[in-house]
Amino acid sequence: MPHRIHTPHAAIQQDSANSMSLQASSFDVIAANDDLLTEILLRLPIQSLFQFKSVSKHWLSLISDPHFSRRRRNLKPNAVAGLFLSPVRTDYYVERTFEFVPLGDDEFGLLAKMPKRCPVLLWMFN
Amino acid sequence: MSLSPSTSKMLSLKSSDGKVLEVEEHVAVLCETIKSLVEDGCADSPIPLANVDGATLGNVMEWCKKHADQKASADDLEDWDAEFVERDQGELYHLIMAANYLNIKGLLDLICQKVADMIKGKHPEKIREIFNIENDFTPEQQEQIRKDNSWAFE
Repeated sequence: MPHRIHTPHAAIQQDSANSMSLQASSFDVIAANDDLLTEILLRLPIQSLFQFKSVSKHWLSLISDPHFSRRRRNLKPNAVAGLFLSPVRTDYYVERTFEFVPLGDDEFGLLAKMPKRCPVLLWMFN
Repeated sequence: MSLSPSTSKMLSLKSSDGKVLEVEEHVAVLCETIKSLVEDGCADSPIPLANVDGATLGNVMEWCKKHADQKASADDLEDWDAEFVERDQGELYHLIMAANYLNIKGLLDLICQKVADMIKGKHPEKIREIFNIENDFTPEQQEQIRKDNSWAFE
């Protein structure tokens, strides 16, 4: 259930009068509302989500919250969680470490970006 | 109390800037906030909606009217919704705040998805600009996050 907040009325009036100032200032009201911001973040592809951890400490804490991950999984119940990749393969050896690369159901294009890695072994399901 | 279209009466909604909108009750009750008022018998006079301006209220009720139409198919609604959210950032902002205030889950979901689609793939710096956020990480912390999530930055 979204939390209802009371937007400062004066801000809306001012924004209505000048749509340019609105463009620059309106979304910070959303950013200051954890419930609304979370609703938006929940709907992002996983790659953007991981990138946006570096936006601010506040965003990092929202995205890293275990409750957030649970809610996101519930929104996309059948999505593949990710792949284990062997990070480097040369002619001489295969490193025996694996890198976990999370995937959403819309991020399979990510695999194309990993020419030096060979996908192996495990599919992780939520 | 029946809220079916055939018996629906009209409700008056008054926006923050004083505009009064006449809306069929079965349409207006898609807003949970208004539905509660109707069910409690408090919806006789124009219902004041202090946090929604007239233009936004018109847009919200347009969405509610479409979604209250029982003849509309799921495919039809999906196409219609896709067109409905083709708006500038300012209008989307007003819609998201109104959907939150009026407690319309379907509309809130729709607009949140639209905003997510708008910001996905953007550089974190651009995100800070859009949401007017200050970067409060030290360069070292920033680098550590990049390292920990390196796959996402490739």
